Amino acid sequence: MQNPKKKMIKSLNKFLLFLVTLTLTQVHAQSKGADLKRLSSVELQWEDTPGAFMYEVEIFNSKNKRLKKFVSKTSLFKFKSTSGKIKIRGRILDAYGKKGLWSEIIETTVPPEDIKFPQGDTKPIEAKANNTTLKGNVKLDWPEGIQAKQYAVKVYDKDNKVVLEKTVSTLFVNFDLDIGTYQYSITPIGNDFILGKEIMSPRKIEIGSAQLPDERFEVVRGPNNNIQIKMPKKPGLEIYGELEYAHHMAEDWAPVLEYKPFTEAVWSPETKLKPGRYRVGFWVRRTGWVDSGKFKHEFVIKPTEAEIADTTSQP
Amino acid sequence: MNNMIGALIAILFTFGLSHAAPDDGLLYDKLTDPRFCDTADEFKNTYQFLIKQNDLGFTEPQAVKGALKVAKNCTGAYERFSQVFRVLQKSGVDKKKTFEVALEYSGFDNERAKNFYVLFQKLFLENYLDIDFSTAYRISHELSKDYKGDPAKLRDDFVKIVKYCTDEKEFSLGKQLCMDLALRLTKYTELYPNGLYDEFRKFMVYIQTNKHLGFNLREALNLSIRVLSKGPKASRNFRQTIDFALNKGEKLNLPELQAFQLALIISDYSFDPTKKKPDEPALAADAKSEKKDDKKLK
Repeated sequence: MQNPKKKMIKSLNKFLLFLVTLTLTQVHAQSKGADLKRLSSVELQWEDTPGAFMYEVEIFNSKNKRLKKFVSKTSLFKFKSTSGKIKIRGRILDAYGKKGLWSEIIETTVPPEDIKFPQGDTKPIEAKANNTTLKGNVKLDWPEGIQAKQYAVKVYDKDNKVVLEKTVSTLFVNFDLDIGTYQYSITPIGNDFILGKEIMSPRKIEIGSAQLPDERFEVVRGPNNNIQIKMPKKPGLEIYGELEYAHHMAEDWAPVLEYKPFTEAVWSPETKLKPGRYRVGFWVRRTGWVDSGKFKHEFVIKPTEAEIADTTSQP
Repeated sequence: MNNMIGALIAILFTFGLSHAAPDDGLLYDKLTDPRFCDTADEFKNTYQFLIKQNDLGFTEPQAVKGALKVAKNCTGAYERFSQVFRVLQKSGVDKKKTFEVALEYSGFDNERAKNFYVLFQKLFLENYLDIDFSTAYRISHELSKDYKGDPAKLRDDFVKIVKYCTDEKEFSLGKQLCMDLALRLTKYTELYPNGLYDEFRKFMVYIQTNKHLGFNLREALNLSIRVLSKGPKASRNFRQTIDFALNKGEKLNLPELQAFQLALIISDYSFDPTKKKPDEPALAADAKSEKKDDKKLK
């Protein structure tokens, strides 16, 4: 018959160590100094071993440096640890204080605790798109994560597609985003690059539309000294325009033509315009944006001598 | 017999009267007195003209009212009105303003109105001076309704100077330069009984061909303006002084630069604005004597 003690110790070699939960409660381990060390909470459930009076546990980091050694009266070990990869071994103590053999070293990971955004703060993070860059700049921030050494920030568009992703060591990041509505998440990253849980911010990002910047329309003279206006070429931009007429010595402008949109590279006045003042206006349009300001150019169509002569010769 | 003669005279008189009625000229002298106006024609023509101008949007009472205003401006008013109206209308001027300006010019004499619509075209049209509307409009007024002298003489000078200045065979200068030149020179048109164009041209030829002066075109033009601004005798005085001062046979016999400076001073003395303007006959006499002097110089 096998000695029950030996059997107990033998069984300890095969003991089952598993993580039951990793809670992210903020723990302040009291130290002798005034500093508070924020550690992740770890709970380990050990298989109950008959005859075990207490359990002795040792925790090492990935570099085999012992981080902690403690004795637990139950098979559920609760302790605080830094994040990252840890190694654990344990042995049982019987009622007489006799120690069993150390178990095999079990490697596991301790992730940083979840980011806790302030509850109830759902006010959107808003920005207006910049006229030059056409993007809105937002500053995203979040509370410090326990045992987080870095943070992975992901920005999702309305279709839940990741449009921006960045890992930072700070508690904020600035992003330039196109017009639209977004959400963002923070994933804490602990020691040994162990990822925590991705937490969505309750605050949405809203980049409002702004007016498109005014474009440069170059006015040149064509081969017959006729006026020409060169259109700017930019992807995603459509050019709209209008032609207006006013008599000399009058201020009322009447629409003559509309260009919706204008697709040629160069604009020149239509032939056979009646004499008088003309004002051609162009602006650019882009979906989700307010139209740019109008570029306006005035010119005059004069009658020819023959046209005047034709009328002056009338009875 | 006497009765018969008396009856024949009476018949002839009656016949003559009945046939003379349609043509007053047979009985009376042609009425050239500007105080008597052909207002019926002016009214009718203007009314018919206005009623055809659809874009003017005149109702019949408005057309009548407009025609009445034009007719009030006496003989030739319709012609003046319609010419100014058409030029401005064709140039794209506001209809209401066109009517107002044309109406205003119907009240001036023919030459003054002609100055406006001729010079406006010369200033505004692309194949002439091609200046902007506002400037062309302003200058046209200055050279017509605001001009104190003889409008026909001014118009003639202006058109000829511009043509001479822009002509490729002559100065071939830019349009703006030529307009400025014409405006500067025509300020003195009134000093010249027959306009200053001929004198200007003659003096330019003299300056450009005189081997002693050797001016470039710009200098020659500036000198012309200065000399011609002193009246019709100034250019002759200038030439005579140059000839005299450079004459080696004379005791004076100045170097070229000093001769030129002296000629400038002498030509400046050619006009004395403190003296009263003589009557027309006296002016004509001056012009004649000047022509004789020119012949002598040649």
